[in-house]
Amino acid sequence: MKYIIKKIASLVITLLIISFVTFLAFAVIPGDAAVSKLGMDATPEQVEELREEMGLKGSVMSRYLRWLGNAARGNFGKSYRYDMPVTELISERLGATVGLACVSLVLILVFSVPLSLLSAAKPNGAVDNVLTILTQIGMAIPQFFLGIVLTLVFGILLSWFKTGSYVSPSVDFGGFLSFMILPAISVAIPKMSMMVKYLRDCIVSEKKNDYVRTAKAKGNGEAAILFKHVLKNAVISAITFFAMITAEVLAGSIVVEQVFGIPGLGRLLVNSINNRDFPVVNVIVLYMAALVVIMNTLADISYRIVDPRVSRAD
Amino acid sequence: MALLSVKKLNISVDVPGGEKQLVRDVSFEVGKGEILGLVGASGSGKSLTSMAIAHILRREYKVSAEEILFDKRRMDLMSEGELCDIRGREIAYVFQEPMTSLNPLLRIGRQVAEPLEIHGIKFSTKVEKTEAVKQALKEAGLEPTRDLLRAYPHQLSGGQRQRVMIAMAFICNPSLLVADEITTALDVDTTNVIAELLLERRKRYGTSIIFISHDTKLVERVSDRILHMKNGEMLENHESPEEAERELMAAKRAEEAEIRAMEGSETSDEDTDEQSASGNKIAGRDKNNALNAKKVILEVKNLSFAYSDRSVLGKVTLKPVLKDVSLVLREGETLGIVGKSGSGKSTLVKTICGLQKSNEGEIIYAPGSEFPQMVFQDPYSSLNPARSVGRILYEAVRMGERRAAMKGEKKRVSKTLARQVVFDMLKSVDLKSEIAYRKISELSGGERQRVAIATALITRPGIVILDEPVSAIDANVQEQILALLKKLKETFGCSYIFISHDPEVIAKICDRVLVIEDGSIKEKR
Repeated sequence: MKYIIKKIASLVITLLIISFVTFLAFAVIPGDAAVSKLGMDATPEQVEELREEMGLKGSVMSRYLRWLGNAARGNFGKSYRYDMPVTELISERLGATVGLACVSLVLILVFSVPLSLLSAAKPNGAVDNVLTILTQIGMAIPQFFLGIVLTLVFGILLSWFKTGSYVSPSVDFGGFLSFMILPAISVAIPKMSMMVKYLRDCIVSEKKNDYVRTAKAKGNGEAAILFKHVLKNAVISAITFFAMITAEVLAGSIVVEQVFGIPGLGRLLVNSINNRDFPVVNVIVLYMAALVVIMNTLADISYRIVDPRVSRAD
Repeated sequence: MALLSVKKLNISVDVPGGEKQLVRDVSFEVGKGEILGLVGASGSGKSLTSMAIAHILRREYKVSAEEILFDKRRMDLMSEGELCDIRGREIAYVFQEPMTSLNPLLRIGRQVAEPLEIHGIKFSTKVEKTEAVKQALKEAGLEPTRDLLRAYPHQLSGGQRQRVMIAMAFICNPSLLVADEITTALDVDTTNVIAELLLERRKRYGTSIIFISHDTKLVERVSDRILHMKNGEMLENHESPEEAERELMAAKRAEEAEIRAMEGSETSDEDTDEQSASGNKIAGRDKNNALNAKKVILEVKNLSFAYSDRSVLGKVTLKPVLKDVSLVLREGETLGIVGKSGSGKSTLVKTICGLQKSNEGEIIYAPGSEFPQMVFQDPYSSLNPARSVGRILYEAVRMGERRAAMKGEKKRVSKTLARQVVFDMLKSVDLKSEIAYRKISELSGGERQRVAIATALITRPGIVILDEPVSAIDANVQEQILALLKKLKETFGCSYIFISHDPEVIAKICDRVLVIEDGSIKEKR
C-alpha cells in the first residue's frame, strides 16, 4: 500500500516537473500562437487583443500557476488551432494511437518469444545466425521505408489488407484490424528485432547458470529445461526492456502515422508544435511522461510478483 | 560385478588454434554399494570426469570413451532421450554450489518433486506425492515443514540448500550418487553431518557413491577406496587403502615442505623482531600481554544493528542482527572472528568499514586507520572482470588519494609514479608484473585473491578486513595465501580482522579469536 502511494507521489512530482519544463520551453522558443492563428497580415492591435484573450499575458510563473490550477480541476484549456477542449481533441486521437499500439504489442510478444527461444536453442548455430542477420536488418531499416514497401506489396500488389482511410474500431472492428495490420507491422518490426536480440542474450546467459545443470542432471530434456527453468528466469531480465518498448509504442509513431494516414497522437503533436498550439502540446508531453513512469512502475510491480527474491517490503 | 565401469575416457574442448585435452584416458570402476573417493587439485579433471558419466557436460566439451558401462548398459552409445531416463533416476548428482544450483524462481517442494514428475513416478493422490517429498527432505536431514516446502531457495542457508539438493538426488532412490565437492562451501559442522548422511544412505539403500573433494582428510574418512587425479589423468589406482594413504601423505608432505620453504626466512625474522622489541625473551604465554601493551587502533563500543523489515501492509518489525558488540583491535594484530552464517559477522564488518550505519554504538578509529579495506571471499565477483589488473590497482591508488584529500592531505602523485606503485604492489604479493595487463577473468583463483589483497593494501590502510579470504580456494593455494598475508602484515604494518568458519585456518593466522553467535560475542579466545 505504502509502495503504491510512494509511486503515485513520484508520478505526480515527475509530471509537475515535466509540465513546468514544457511551459518554459514554449516561453523561450520563437513564434507566437496569436500570430500563427491570425496569419501574417494581422495588425499588432489584433494580435495584442487575441493574446489577452488567449491568456498569453503575464509572467511565465503566473501563467503556469493559472494553468496548473485549471488542470487540477480537469480543465486543460482549449486548443488554439481547433477551438475545442484539449481533452476532447486528444481522446479522439488517442483511440487511433492506442489501437495501433495494441496490435503492434501483440505482434511483438507473439513473435519475439518463440523467435528468441529458437535463436537461443543452439547459440551460433545456423538458425541463430540467420535470425541475427534478420534482426539486424529489422533494427536498421527506416520505418517509413518499411511502411511504403509493406503497403506496396501487401496492400496494393497482393491486396491482402485494406489500405487508404482509417476506420474506427467501434465502427467496423474487422475493417480496423485489416487497416491496422500493416502499420502495426511497421511499428513492430524494429522493436521486435530488439526484443528478440535482447531476450536471446538473456536466455543464452541464463543457460550457463548452475541451476540449469541441476535441471539436466535430474533428467529434464532440452525443451523441458528451456521452458520449465530457463524461460521464466530470462523473461524477468527482459521485463524492464519490454516496459520501455511498450511506453514508446503507446506514445505513437509520427513516421508511421504519417505514412499510413492514421489520425494519431504523433501527428497531432508535430502539427501542434508547428502551430504553437501550446495547450495541446503540453498535454501530449505529459501523457508521454506519464506513460514512461507508469510503465516503469508496472515493471517494478511485475518483478515483485514473478521474482520471489525481490523483497515485498520497500 | 561393478556397477559402473569407465574405460579410456577422454574429454577435450576446442580452443583457438586447436584442441585442449582436459581428461586423458581415464579408466575406473565403482562397485555396488561402494564409496569411491576422487581426489585432486582444482583443474585436475575430476568434476569433468564425473559429469561425463551421465553426459551432463555442456555442448562445448567433447567426450569420447572406449566404453562407459553402467548397470550392464552402454552409456556412451545411448541417445539423449535414453540418457534423460537414467539421469536423476538411476544416476543422481549433487554439486558444489548450493547457492546457485537451485532454480531461484521455484519453490523447494516443487524442485524436490520434479524428478518424480520427469520420470513418470505416479502417485495415486497428491498427498502421497507430498509425503514422498517430505520423506526425501527428512532423509537429507531437514524438517519437512509446510514453510520449507513453500520456501524459495534464497530464503535458505547454504547448508539447507545443499540438503535440498541431496533430497532431490535421493528422491528417486538412485543406484549411483555423484557428490561433487558438496561440502566445499559449507562450515565444518555441516560438512560432518552431510558426510554422515551419505554413509547412512549407503548403509540403508546400498547406494554407490562417487565422492569428489580436494579435502583429503574428509575423503579418507568417507571413502572405501581413493583415486587420485592430476592434470586430467588418473594416477595409478591404489588397490589397498594403506597404499592410498601413503601416497596422500607423501603429497601432503611435499605441499607442507613447499609452504615452509616459502615462509622460511620470514618466520625467523618475525621472532627476532618480537624479541628485540620487548628487550628480553618473551615466552609464548606472555605474547598476549605484549599485544595488550600495543596501541589500540580500532575500538567498537556497544554496537547494535537491526534490519527493519516491512510487511506488505506496511507494518514494520525490527530484526536484530547485532546486539551490543564491543571489541578492540590493536596495532599489528590479527583478530579472528568466527561464527556460523547468519550470526551477524558480515554485518559487523560492514559496519566497521562504513558500508552500513549502525543503530546504536560507536566506532573509534585511530588516526591513520580511518578507512579499513576489505578482501572478500569471492575475488571473481568482487573485482570488475572487464578491467585489467593494472587498471584496478591504479584506480585503488587514486581512490586512496581522494580519501587522503578528505583528511586534508593533498598528495596526488604523477601517473608514472602511480604506475610504479602498482608494479611494486604486484611484486609484494608475488605476482609477475605482466599480470598487470591481464584481465581478472584470465587469472586463477589464487592469483585473483592476490590481486584482491593487493587492491586492499595498495593505499596502506591501517586495518584490512579479510572476509573468508581463503574459503573458495584449494587447500594448497590456501596455505600460500595465508603465508603471504602474514608476510604482508609485517611489511605494511597493518592489522587484520580475519573472518572464517574454518577453525584450522583461524588457528594458523590469528592472535586472538572472537566467537560471534546470534549477533553477540559469546566467547573470547
